[in-house]
Amino acid sequence: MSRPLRPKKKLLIIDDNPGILFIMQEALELKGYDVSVAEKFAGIERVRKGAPDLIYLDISLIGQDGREIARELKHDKRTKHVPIIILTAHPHASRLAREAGADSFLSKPFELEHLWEMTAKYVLKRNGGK
Amino acid sequence: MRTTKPETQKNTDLGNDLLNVTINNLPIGVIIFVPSGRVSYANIQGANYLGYPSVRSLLAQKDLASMRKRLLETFVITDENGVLYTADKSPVVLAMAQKKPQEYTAHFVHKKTGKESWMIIRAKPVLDKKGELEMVVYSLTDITEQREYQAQLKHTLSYAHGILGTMREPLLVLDRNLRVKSANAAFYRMLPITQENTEGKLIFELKNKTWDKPQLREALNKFLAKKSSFHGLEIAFDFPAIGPKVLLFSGQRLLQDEKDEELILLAMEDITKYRFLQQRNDNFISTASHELKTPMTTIKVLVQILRKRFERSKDPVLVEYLARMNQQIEHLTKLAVDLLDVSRIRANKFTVEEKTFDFDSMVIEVVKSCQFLSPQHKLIIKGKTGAEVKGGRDSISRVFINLIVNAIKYSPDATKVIITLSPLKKRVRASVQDFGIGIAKIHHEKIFDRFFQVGNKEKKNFLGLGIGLYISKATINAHHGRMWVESEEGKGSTFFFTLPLGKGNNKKHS
Repeated sequence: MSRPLRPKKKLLIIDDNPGILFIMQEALELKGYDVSVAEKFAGIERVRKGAPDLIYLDISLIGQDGREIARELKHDKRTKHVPIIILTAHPHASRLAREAGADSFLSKPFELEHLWEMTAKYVLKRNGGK
Repeated sequence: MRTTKPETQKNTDLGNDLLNVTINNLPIGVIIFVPSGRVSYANIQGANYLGYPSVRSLLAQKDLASMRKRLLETFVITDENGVLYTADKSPVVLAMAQKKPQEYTAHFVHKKTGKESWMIIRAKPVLDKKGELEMVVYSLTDITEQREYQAQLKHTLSYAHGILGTMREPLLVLDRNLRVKSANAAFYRMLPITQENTEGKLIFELKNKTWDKPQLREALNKFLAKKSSFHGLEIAFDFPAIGPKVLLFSGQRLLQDEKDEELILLAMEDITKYRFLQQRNDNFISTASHELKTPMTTIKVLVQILRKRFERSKDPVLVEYLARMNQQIEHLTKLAVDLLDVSRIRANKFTVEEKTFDFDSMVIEVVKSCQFLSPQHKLIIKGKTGAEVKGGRDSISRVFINLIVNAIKYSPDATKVIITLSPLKKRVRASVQDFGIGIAKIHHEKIFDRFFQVGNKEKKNFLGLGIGLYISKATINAHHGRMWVESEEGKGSTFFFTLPLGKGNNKKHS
């Protein structure tokens, strides 16, 4: 359990379920990340301002299509470098992630260790580290 | 007095004898009347048919009136319409009077014995050169059997029509050109279509060609070519007037009709409602298990966070409680995932990943993780495949986990489970063998059914949903593999499965 390098890496979690937001925040803060959560996507501008190093995005948000959001973020030059991990309970998670142009996916229900590993991997990638 | 007959006379005698023998052996009664009304000749059948015990007794009758009297005392005679036979209908009398052949179909009921028979009576006048009546040849043909066959046939036909008419399944009879010959009432009840727009029409043209379905064409063409009947052909229609319908078709060759024509009986079963309910049921299971996953994730991760926080705690009770909670959540998660899998299999949405993976390393990984489930059972891997297999690593892992968990569960007193890996020519074969309670032969097929549970005499707690093997087999089938079991009660079971090798598979050198 190595602590991430300073300054704290910023993570953005978008999921319409407060329970998921709570555990994601708890679990990732335990690892020293700076975690912000949102129940819905509030536009590219907000994401850009927050300057996250990694985004966890629920694919089936109420009234919003996670795939559309991912595509939008990946098409905007200000946000396209931010890794996106799709959060879903859907059986075809890998296909959905591919369609959305996301970097990876995390299937619900997941293991705490798996969440930590995945986060570390993509934050490091973003950092250009190995 | 001549002692010897001339040759011609001899021949005539011989001819008469032959004629007599022949006539006496005909299944037809023959009686010859002379114009006076007396009988000049009769064979035995003729006498018997009219109720006389011998030809002699018939010949003893003086005239037509006394014969008729005796006839009506012996039989009740009616015609085909049930009208009583009377003197004015006598074919002999009519033939004599009109000098024309007569025919009468009669129903005889013997007054004493009650025996019934049907006769065709023919009376043919024979005239001499001057046109005077010489005799009347009277014949009686027993058509009782024939009438019975006819009645039976009529009955059978009306029975068949009755069945077709009252059958709830819509039916069409098609000719070899696939034109509708007839349709039953249920067919017309199902579709708002007139008889005029149905009979004689090509089946594919019915209802503005909504019946023109490739599956139906294929099945019927194959049927015509190979005479192979088909069953359970499911086709979905969208009829403009009545909406979507799912029909299950069966095609059967029908007995040839009078023109020696081949007919096809096309039976339909309307399973729209069944499919709708099944769909709703499957959707419910799918949604329910999907919806369960989110709260389960929350609880699961929370428990894991708690375990992390209290890992070094000195409170053994707290640690134990959290471990138990975690175990139950794992169990719950598996149930939800399994139910979701069942609904995917049912909806034919079970897809296989296009990737390949290293089979042996997957097995080693699974066995390693399963070893923790029961330290009592030593999990032994024998052999290796050295192969890459195409498909979902995760789904095949789950098949393995399921087989190993079952092996442990159903061999509570055993100390080992053997996993054998073998490379075959174009496939890999894997087996999981336990030394437990085994499975009776009658259950070998059924255990792969959905929600099937083997009854257990000792009433040990082997509960589960009974979907593990169903999912496993469906997973293997979806990967174009095969799964089966070999087992003997009291000795244990071995579950086998095969999987095709991934394309461009390079066997690793061992």
